[in-house]
Amino acid sequence: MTLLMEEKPKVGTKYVAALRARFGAAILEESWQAPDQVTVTVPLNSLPDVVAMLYYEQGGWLATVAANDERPLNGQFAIYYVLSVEGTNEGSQAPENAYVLVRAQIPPHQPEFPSVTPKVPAAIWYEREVRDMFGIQPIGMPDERRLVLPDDWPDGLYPLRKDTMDYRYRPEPVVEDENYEFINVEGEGVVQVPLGPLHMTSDEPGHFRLYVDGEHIIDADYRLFYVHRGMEKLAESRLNYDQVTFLADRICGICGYAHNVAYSSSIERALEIDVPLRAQYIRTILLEVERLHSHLLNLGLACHFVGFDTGFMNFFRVREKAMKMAEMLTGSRKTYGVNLIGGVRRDILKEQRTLITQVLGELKSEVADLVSILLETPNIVQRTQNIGRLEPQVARDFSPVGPTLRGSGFARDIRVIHPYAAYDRVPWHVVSKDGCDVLSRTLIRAEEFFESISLIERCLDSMPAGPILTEGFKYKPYKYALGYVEAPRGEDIHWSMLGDNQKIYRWKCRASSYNNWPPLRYMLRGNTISDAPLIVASIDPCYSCTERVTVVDVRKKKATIIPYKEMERYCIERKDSPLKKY
Amino acid sequence: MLRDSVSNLTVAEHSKYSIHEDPAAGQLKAALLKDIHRSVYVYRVDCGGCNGCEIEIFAALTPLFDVERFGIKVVSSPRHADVLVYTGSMTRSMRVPALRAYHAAPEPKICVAYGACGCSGGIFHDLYCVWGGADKFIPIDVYIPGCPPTPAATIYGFAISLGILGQKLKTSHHVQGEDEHVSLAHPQVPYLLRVQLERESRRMAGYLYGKQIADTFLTMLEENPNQVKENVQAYLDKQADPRLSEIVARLVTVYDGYQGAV
Amino acid sequence: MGRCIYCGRCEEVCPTGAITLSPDFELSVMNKQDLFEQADYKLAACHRCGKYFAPVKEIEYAGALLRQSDLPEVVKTNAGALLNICPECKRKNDVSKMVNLYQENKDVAR
Repeated sequence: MTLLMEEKPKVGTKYVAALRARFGAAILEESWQAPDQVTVTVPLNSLPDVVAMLYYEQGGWLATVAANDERPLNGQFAIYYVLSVEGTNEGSQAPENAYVLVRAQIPPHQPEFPSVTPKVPAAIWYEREVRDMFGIQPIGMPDERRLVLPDDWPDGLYPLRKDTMDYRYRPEPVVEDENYEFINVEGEGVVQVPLGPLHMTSDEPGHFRLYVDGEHIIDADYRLFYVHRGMEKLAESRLNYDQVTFLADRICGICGYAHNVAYSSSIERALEIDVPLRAQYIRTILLEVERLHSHLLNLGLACHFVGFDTGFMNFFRVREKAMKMAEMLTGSRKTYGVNLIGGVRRDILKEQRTLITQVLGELKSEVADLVSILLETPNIVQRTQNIGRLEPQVARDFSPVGPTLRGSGFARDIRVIHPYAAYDRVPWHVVSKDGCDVLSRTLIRAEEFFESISLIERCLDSMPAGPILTEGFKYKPYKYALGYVEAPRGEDIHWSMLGDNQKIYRWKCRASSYNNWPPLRYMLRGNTISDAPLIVASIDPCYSCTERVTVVDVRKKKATIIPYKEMERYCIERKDSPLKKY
Repeated sequence: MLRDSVSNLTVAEHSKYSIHEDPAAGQLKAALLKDIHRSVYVYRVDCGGCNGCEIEIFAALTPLFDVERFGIKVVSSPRHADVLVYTGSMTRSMRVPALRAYHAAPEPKICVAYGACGCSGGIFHDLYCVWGGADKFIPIDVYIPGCPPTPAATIYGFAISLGILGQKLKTSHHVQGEDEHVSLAHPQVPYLLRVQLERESRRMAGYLYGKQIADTFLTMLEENPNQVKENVQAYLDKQADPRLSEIVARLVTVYDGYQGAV
Repeated sequence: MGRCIYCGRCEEVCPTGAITLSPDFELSVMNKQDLFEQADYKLAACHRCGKYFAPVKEIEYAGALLRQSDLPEVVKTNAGALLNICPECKRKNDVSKMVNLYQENKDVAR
């Protein structure tokens, strides 16, 4: 495998060269984890500029931000900004897509770093999470509220620091009631509509606060992370490498397998394990089976929210066929748990193959009928066109992912940009639309559904022979790498560093919805209350994904939140909506 | 200041937060069950689930499983509910909302712990940000295990909570008998050969199918060591599965290799 | 059973086939205690230090596997002698053997 690595040319050298040209000696170190993954270490004060340059000048998208307590290794905290750098489509050059990790070390006696959020808004949630979990302050971050840790968590206790607490430590609740401060929108006639955390639009907990004037939403704020359980800490303490795959399945009950693959492939990449080709095909098939059921779920909900319950029931009826397929292939309807480090646990034999081929045929014709019924229902188009607009510029600033992004004109799909599993071995195409609205996002899901079916069929047809499991490798401590998967809702990114005791040292998993929540506020503005559930459902949010793990926020300063400037102005003047400006 | 002692508030310590049910509630519940028959309103309280449970409850509602035919209907407010279904491992943030939902539902009410997390905290049972199951705070009447419970298990669980069906599972206590021994699998086949065959089969077909395929091969080997190749070929012809043939061909190679070495 | 995530991993890796998953779905209970299954097995004591260290059944199984294997008799006898010794005593045994070996080598070298 070492050989393989040398054969493959490095991708992304030009970005490192560009950084060196601009920042010179500030690029302290460069190290490659994979042919298309490079870490550059920079001094703390250059961090915002380096990230901003990659993001806006080199076509970068913020994939994730991982903080790591490396004090046992080198005496410092470290923070990694992970960008997928894709170049600026100049000329007809072949795209050069690489993951660039910008790393900076943070001294433990002064746990703070300059916030990148003012330059790259996409970093906002990540930096709030780092503050919660590690107690490292982002200096210049406008939002001082907790993100992940519950309100009743004590101040000054940071779960992910290696020396703070056992993973089982449960402090006494410090407050009896929630005390999260929602943003304060004032203006004549503005009414607050609180929704949740238990509410009727969705199954999962999340507290929304809509600020409305009459029927119109002026702004929205939300408190999520009601589902934070502490998975990342669990993976570092109780479980071994193979057991974490089952935990990864439970990050999300809908797209869990995508997380599972992302986690396994991050470890495999770090260790340069050659996963057998047949296993790669099986993973691809299962990922697409998961997309089938997930998209049917979302199409069903879209019907439900516009009052077309016949469609809702019908989509859920055919969805059971996708569930049956999953059960046949994995033994489980929802939590597949099929991956091990090095391959998969189950092969596809003739019996399963025959059955899924038959089910795929049924699904194809039934869903085609349902989608045409859906689109011919006039109500649907009326209710979804131009609703919940995600303007391309907002999308560019916040790095949303999946159908949410592809509905705003960006044909960005990790399966093509950073091919993994077998996606570069079977032909298929990316679906994108430029309507920027709920309708576009719904149509994308419908088209992707059929794309998934043909992907599965092609994978079955060209499935290679050979083993499905690589065994007998050794775990090497402190190697790290990224794993990435285009889940039904967008890319899932896992950053894993291996430990020296058969346990992972640090696992940072970022689910797709994490990147889709922050821009939601912009999508809600300017619409009516009655459209809110529809808009929320159109990003197909997954609360539990996002709320995996997190922590505490440090200081509950009574500071008022400084909203984005534009938003402030809009709140005061309540005219000239920023939405119209773009 | 490493806090390594497991504080783990015990159930008794939880009690200052948890709800103590009135002893008369049992009678009220029995009366309720008699009254509601086929008109049961269910409210779901997600206390930190991964969505798997929520979506399986959804699946139980929709046409294929259709719990509505039993009169079970999901409502969108706890104030309308006869049954509260608690999913998720009870995260810290959801403790207060969960109690609020409990108090909002009219008495008498039936509380169900749903899924491995709802029953005990599941894979998250001892984590810092969860309390480990709904019964730490809420008086639970019925436990539906599963991760997630399938729609069929869900329907059965509802039937139990409504007193329509009886409970099947009973706690068991096995004590080792005097002459209780583990029997060896395939005693006629040398252990090292068996391990090699099982390993190759696992590498090719995965754990479950690999085990089954190796078992079939070993059984044939035991039955008639001299005719094993002919018998295997006849079996493969009958199955007509190219992938199975590929895997078994590897096993034959392993077998030949072992014979050669001996 | 309340905490089981039904991944089936135990079934797959169990060398004796003691665990099998069934399609039975009627698992709901009114009383949490009914989700528990308890099994008591006799423990074996270490022949050296007398501490209990593993179920008798497991040691018998290991012994049976050893007899079934076609290893040379001398290996079987040596390994068989260690069956009833706990891991800690085995480690101590190994260390003292190594020390002896080292001493012998030193003596030979001299």
